[in-house]
Amino acid sequence: MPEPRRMNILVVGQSHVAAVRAAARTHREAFPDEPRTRVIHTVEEVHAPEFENVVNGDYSAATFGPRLRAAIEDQIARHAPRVASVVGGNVHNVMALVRHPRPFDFLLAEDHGPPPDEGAELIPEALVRATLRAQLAPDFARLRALKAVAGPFLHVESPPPVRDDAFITARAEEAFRGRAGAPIAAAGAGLRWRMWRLSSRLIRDAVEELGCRYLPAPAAARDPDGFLSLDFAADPTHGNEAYGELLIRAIEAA
Amino acid sequence: MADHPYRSLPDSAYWRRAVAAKGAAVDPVVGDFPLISRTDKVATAGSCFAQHVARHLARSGFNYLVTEQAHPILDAEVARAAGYGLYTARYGNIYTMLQLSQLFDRAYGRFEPAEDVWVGPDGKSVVDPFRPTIQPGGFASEAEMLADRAQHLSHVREAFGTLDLMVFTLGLTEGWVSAIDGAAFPLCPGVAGGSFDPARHLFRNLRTAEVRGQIGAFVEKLRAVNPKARLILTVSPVPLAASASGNHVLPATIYSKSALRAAAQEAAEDLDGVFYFPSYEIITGPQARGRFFAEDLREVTEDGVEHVMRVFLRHAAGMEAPESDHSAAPDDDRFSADVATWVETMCDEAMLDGEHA
Repeated sequence: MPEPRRMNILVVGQSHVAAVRAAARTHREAFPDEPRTRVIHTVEEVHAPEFENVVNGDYSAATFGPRLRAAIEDQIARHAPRVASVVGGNVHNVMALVRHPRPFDFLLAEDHGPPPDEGAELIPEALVRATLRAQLAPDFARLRALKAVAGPFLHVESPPPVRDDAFITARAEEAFRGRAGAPIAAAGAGLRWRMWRLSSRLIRDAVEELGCRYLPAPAAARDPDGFLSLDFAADPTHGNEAYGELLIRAIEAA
Repeated sequence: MADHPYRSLPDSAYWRRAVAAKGAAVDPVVGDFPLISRTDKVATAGSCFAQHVARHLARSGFNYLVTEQAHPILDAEVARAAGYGLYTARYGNIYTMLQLSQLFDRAYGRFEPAEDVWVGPDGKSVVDPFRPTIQPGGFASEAEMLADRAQHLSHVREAFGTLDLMVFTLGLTEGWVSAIDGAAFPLCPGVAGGSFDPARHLFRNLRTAEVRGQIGAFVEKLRAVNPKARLILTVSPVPLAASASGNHVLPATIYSKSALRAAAQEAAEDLDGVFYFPSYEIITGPQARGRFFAEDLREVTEDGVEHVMRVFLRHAAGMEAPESDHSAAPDDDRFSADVATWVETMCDEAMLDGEHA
């Protein structure tokens, strides 16, 4: 018998809402009278356009589109939920899930993880960070836009990378397969780890600058080295329903 | 009427016909100049003016040699700010022949300077003393800097070993060297990293004969690894931002450029496969009436750069680069383009001014 839900929760994000949605549905079906967790996937067609005020790729003045704003406001008005974000969480995967034809790695001051691949080209951390920051611009805009609509929220860190190369190689998503060409191979575990850590630092800074709270990925879903245990992985980049359940519990407990 | 040598001289030998009559559009190249084919690998290095040369070569259809490419995952703006693509390799500005010669020696393991790691201005980051502004904000650790340097020097070796022609722009005679082993720093220690210590850091103002000797020594080393290599020397028309010589910066600039110009001339006359291209004269000559300098009397305008490169391409490639249609663009657009070009031209020398800001 699981613990009863303690509050209504609204989780806003993109692909990482799937794990939460699955866990919420399962719990709701078993305990329909308890408070509910609901999700909004910001890029779903029903909310389009996701953004307004994006000019030539510049997201600095971006706001959520009217339907998306209305959807969030409606959820808040009707259910008074605790608002959480699982915004973003895939840019680091695009950069470092699949082994690049020109293998690269970088050294990360503190929290460095497994050693770099031998023979990989080393790129200074600052350049990787600046590139990540540029590519995270839409995610930063989503966080700002969510704060503007919902007020202070909790942001939950994206899932850690899984450690198992074979799991990634065997189950690589089509998008990444097309991106890298065949044969496909997982990037080194160390690179995956460092890119995730660096991305998380940038997101954490952005969240805290907004006056919001940042929750690390649940410890219970991680192996002793901090990677995502396969028991909680839906695929090479996303948590599964069990992971979603951990997120809901973490949001409740925050 | 008695005959004499001047009677048979071409128009180019006469100031009135070759300069006064031509004005700013003068083309002062006569005689032997190397033809560059579309397949020749052309490398560039030098002071900040060399960035303009590199930029124009890259977009003029030459086989512009870039051995140190930014990794494709990097954002283009991030890579540009980190010095990728400015030159053939990510060495930043090389102001003196001494630096270039020592770069060669470092790349081939013949010189390991004693002072080879600097702490950044923030007290935490790490700076490569031999390219102190190449990494915005500095490197995160000594290990990272050393790894990046090792990669960089491998690309430098690749460049020296494979280039067909190198265009090197001589910028300065003034510089700072290590008292321990003579290692030449592109910037005075303390400006963009490191700390200045008068006991460890010596001011040098190279003499003409020294520069000439360094050119010869460099060519000899380069040919030892790449016998086909040719060298085009130019002198940067950009004046010194500051002089540590004790002289007024104006005569200090004229000395520096004169010494470089004379050494380049001698090298071109003495050494096979070494040539001189007069970008300095095109920009600074009286025929230009100063029009190719920006308001600060230092930066070279895009008009000036375009004229230099038009002359270069005419002689090196038989190309007549299209004239820029400046009249078609509103003045503010032209201004914006010039400003953008200046901003992109990271000139380490300019940082010296910041010391007094």
